[in-house]
Amino acid sequence: MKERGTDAGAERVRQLMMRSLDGELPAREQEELQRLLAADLALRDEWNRLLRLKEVTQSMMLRKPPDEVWKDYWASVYSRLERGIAWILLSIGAIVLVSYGAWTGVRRLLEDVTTPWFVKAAILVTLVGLVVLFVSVVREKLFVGRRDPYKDIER
Amino acid sequence: MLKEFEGLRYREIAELVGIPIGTVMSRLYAARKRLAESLREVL
Repeated sequence: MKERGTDAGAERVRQLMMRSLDGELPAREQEELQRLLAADLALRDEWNRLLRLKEVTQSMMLRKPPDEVWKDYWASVYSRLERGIAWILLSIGAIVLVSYGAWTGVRRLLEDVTTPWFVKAAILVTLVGLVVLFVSVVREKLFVGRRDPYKDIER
Repeated sequence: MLKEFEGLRYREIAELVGIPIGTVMSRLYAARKRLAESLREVL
């Protein structure tokens, strides 16, 4: 067939087939592919094979690892330690950065003589609220922790 | 994998992998051809 005779022609036909298989071929080019298929028996055979392959691959699913694999993974001290350390480092870094950013912003606003008094008051009220909230959460955790009936049970 | 299991479009695969869209199609064709050869008896 003339169009498949050249490398560029063969590449074009392959791309048409791939895009048609994957639903990315516009109607006009779909007609072009149909014409090519009608004129070339070998191409039609290949196309039919690709269609069957597409059906097969669409019905396939990646097998998920069984639960035992995850249990083994999390049973490993190293895995638990690694995740724990990562969270601690991430938390420390985030807290320092956010605190520094907040403090810098607040200090600028408080030192700026053009900042309205009610904004300064709102900042102070917000800071006091945050501190009280923090203390309240810590007190709650300590309270619950002391009365947790399962606190001595090892996970 | 990106096409069949993740359901990405050609343009998305090209951007993700950093290759031209034509290369995405060529590689898909080559992979499917090899897979079809392996599954010749099933197909």
